[in-house]
Amino acid sequence: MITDQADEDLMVLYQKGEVRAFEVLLSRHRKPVYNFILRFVGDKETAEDLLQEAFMRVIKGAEAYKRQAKFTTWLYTIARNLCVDQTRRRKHRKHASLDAPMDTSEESGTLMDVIPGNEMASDRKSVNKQLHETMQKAIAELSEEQREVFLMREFLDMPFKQIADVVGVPENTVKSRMRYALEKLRLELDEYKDLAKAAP
Amino acid sequence: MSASDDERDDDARLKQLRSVWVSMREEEPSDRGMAALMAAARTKASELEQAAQPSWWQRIAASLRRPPVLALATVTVLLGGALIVTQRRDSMKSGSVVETETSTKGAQDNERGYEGEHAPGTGAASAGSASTVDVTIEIPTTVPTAEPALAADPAATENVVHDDKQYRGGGSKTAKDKSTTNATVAIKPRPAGPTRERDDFAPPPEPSNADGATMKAPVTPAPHAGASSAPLAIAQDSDQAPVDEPVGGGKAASQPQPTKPSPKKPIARTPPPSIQGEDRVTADTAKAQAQQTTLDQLVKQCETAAAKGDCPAVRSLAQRIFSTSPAAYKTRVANKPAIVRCLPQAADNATSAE
Repeated sequence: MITDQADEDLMVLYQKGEVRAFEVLLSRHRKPVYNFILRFVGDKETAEDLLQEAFMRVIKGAEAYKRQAKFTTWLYTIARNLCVDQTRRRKHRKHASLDAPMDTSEESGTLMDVIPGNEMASDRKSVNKQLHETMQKAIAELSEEQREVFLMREFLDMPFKQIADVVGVPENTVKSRMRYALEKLRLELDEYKDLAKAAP
Repeated sequence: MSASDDERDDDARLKQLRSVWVSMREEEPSDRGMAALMAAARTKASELEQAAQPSWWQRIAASLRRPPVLALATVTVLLGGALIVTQRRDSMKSGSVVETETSTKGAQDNERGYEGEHAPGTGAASAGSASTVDVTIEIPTTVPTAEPALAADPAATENVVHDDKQYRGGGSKTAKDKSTTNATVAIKPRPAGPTRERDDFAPPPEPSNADGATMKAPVTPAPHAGASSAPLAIAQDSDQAPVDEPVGGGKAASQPQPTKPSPKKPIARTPPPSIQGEDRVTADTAKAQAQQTTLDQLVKQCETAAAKGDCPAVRSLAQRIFSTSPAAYKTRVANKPAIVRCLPQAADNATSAE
């Protein structure tokens, strides 16, 4: 079955003109790549554009792909580079507007909404929502290097070695960045530790 | 997360924080732009497929590896090889025929020279009661160079033996053979078959008396041999295979020895396949040459015997000449009064033949 084959084998098949192999690759990696991009750039529309661009680059560069390379490393390198480029293009917007919606969904509120007030949230749902949004904010405030390492490590379960390959820095540097990222998040979320305890 | 990855901060607070982001829901991307993406993928796939197609030489190589083409190539190679081998064999055959003719001529010359030398000896031998018959056996062997040596020396009369080893070692047995009867026997080699036996020999023309009795080749000591040399009985067919049987010299010379049948010994003679064809040609040529030589010898011996008044020997020789070649008998024997005097019966034969 073509769906059971490894990413690298599917890519080799696509190199031979098998469109179905690319479809399988797309269905397998579309969601995780999208979420990585979304957490990196923080914008759904931009994330969708970048997702499309990432896979377009995969199509264009299919001839150059070598079987020895890990496909996810190649794919996330493309996605990460796109995210970095996008972030640099938007550098002038260093801080998100407090009034701007954090999400495009209807139920998403603004950062003002999630900044905790003095009173405690009444129900668990609102607690979770508050925590998640606070988390999103804290991630967004990480530096670019720390953010990409943190996202790949904590959300994509990538080993440090692979992260180092994607980012293009030594493995120890990746670990160092990860340590700084966690420390920062801990400080950021320290005041919400009680909320975190209450989280499911 | 992989277990091998260390450096994981297991701080309790971090675990709590991690539970927060682990519980964060994953967004589902919209299908926007997917159609365009798949269209681009298909276009690229067709390009890749064309690029992945083998080039013309790769297709040719692939088609050459197919079984029918391989079979055709095998047949071509086999036919070509057979053609080359055949051409080589033909060229070798023609070369050996020329060589054989040359060597046979040389043998004839040598033979004449030898007879001139030993004529008195022959006369002395024929002074006895037994007549002399020269038997020269020419055996085409697998060693082509040995053949001319045998033919060149008329003294190398064959002591017919059944050992193939002695066949081949023609030169080494010359001393022994000198004491044996001279007879000319051309032996045709069997063209095929792994072994050859003694019955391959073509029987020499048997002299017969006027009453039709077969004349066995009487054994006389060769003129150049010692008194103790062994006489030789020559087998005319395979059942009468001769053996060497040493007997008292003087006695043996006076009367012919009966031949003893000896057990057949198969001779493992396997001429190389490339020489078998040329052997036949060589044997035919040699046979004709040997016949002519025998005729000459017989005529000379007949003349000598007639000059000495040995009429029985003359009759025997004349009979052999007649059986070998009636024309030669008429031209070379019947018109010589010295011989005709001893041959009333042979003269009758000649008259009747006319």
